[in-house]
Amino acid sequence: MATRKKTRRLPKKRLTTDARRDIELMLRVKQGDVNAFEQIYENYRGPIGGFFYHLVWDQALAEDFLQEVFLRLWRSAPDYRPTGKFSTFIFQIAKNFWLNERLKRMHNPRLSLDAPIRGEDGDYAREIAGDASTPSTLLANAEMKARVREAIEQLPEKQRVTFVLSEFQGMKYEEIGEVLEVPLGTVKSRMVSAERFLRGRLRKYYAEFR
Amino acid sequence: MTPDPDITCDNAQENLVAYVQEEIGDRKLARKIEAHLAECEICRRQVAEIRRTFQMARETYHDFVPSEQVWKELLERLHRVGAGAGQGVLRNVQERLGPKSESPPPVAAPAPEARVAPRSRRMIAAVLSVAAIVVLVAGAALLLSLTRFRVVLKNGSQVSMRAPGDDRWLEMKPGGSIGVGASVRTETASFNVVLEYPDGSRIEMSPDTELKIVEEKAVKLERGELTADIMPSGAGFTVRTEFGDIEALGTRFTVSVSRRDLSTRLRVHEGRVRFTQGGVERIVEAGYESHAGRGMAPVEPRAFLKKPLGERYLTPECLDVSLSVFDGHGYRDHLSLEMPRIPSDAPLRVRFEVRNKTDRELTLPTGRTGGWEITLMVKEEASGGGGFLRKDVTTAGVMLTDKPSTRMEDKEVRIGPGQVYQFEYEIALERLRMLKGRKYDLVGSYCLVSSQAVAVEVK
Repeated sequence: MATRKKTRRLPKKRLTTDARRDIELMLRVKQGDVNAFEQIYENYRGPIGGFFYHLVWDQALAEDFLQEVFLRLWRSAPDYRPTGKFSTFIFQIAKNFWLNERLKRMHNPRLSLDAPIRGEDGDYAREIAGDASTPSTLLANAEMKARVREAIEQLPEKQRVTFVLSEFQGMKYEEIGEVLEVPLGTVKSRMVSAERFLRGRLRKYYAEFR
Repeated sequence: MTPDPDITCDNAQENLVAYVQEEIGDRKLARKIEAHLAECEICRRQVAEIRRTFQMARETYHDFVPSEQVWKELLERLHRVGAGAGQGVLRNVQERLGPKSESPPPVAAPAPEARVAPRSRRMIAAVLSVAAIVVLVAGAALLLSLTRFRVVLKNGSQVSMRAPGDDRWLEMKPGGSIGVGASVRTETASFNVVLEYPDGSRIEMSPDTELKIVEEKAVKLERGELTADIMPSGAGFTVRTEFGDIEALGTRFTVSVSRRDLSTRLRVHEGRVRFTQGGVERIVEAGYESHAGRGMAPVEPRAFLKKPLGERYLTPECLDVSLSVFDGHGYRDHLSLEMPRIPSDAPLRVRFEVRNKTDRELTLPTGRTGGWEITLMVKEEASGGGGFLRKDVTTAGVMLTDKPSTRMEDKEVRIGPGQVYQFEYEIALERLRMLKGRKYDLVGSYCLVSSQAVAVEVK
């Protein structure tokens, strides 16, 4: 086992929260418990917000979407039935919200989500400053990072959502299938296509990368 | 090792992305792929390229942390939309927002009597919950009794009713209410349908549920599920089912009828009820459930909540918990680790001390009915632009969580007033190896897991 794990997947946004506890919390939310709701927020603001962030690459927008998802979660609480994993449930809300939002914005260009990637805002600069001291930083400059972001952003929609859930949220294929309501094989093939697409765009930077 | 005949470059390549992502569920297949890779230079190069793609993508990863403002606004918005779940939520939100914020004017004003009902805050909360609430008012022909039930439903929810002596189901529209003898039916997508009694008692019908109002104080649950919230004045109210009757003794409970296993299930949330079937009577208390079937008396009530923790919830006010980590020399409440030099095999020992601050005995759950969940948070120190940037790794996903409960026996720990209870637990360091060579702080955190308990979290 250990031998083939040359590159471990980063333990990034893996959903480590105890599944049973989530369900108990949500059942308390169903009873109207705001404290339980806050705990769920604490547990999931990172994963849900991160999901949106890696789709829109914009802190403020990701925060707005995060808030909307939790509002929907609250509204759906009376009808909540603990039939599956809570993380799947909440990511489904996020996914549905995202699909709606995209449709809305496709018809209203002023709200377009395809804004050019911001490279110079403070947030971004800070992040890079922080990373500069990290030995593992391979993409030394912001320019390069922006290109990779761009490539991810240009992925076909379904592949992009799948890719973000897998790569940035650390979700297993099986759970991605549940969230997106597609079979496991579909998740797998979307990942293959996404990787091919990205590889095609990023290949020319390989040399700089290593 | 010879190349596996089943695996060619073609079908290996389909699986290489999943392989790199460690998503090959089938061990046999994983072994075959490995065998193929050992033989095939082309596929090995592919794997390297795939790895590189993922590594590059990963460099754009951003550890998303929302600003505090997001939660604050969310809370205000919850307050504006009112409660979804009812149950004193509005009050709860109000407390959190502080005394300043006033209740907003309801979009559809609840009937005045709803406001004066003694225990009706809950109900108001539910009424406020939806912007467009439809209050169905009686069609005169349907009124057979003085006891009228207002049917409050979420906009868009479909509810049908059947008048006594009629076998047609009519969709309920704004302008109807029901009396004794009538039946009400909700559809699969009808949520939040509530029957209100004049005294403030409520029956909430789940989707796909049918009931008949048989008497002023009795309904027959034909199928589906209902939750009854009965005011003390409604004592004696009975839910009849094919498989047993449930009589409220001032209470809140849920009843469901299952056609599939021909049974009636009961859960009591507050107060107590009497459950009768086949001449056998059982009193079911809050926190307990029971069920009965055709010709089957109600079973011995069983706790459906984890064991109630004494009479009160455990809150930070009644418990003082400290946690320390053993680093091989002594116990500290704080432990710094430099990653390449983590102690190789020694598990990390964590010690808990729980002090009962109250003047009565407390019962803590352990084992499967509840327990402690220990999280060692790894705080990562990364030097940023100017000074130290502290990352809370819960959001970065590096958590060492382990549950003593899975290894402890099912038992309760009783702690007398002022007493301290101590226990130790070991956490394997296995997962620390995922981290790269940097400095980390380990800070203990824990919470109490039990559906009854308010989680106590301290860092």
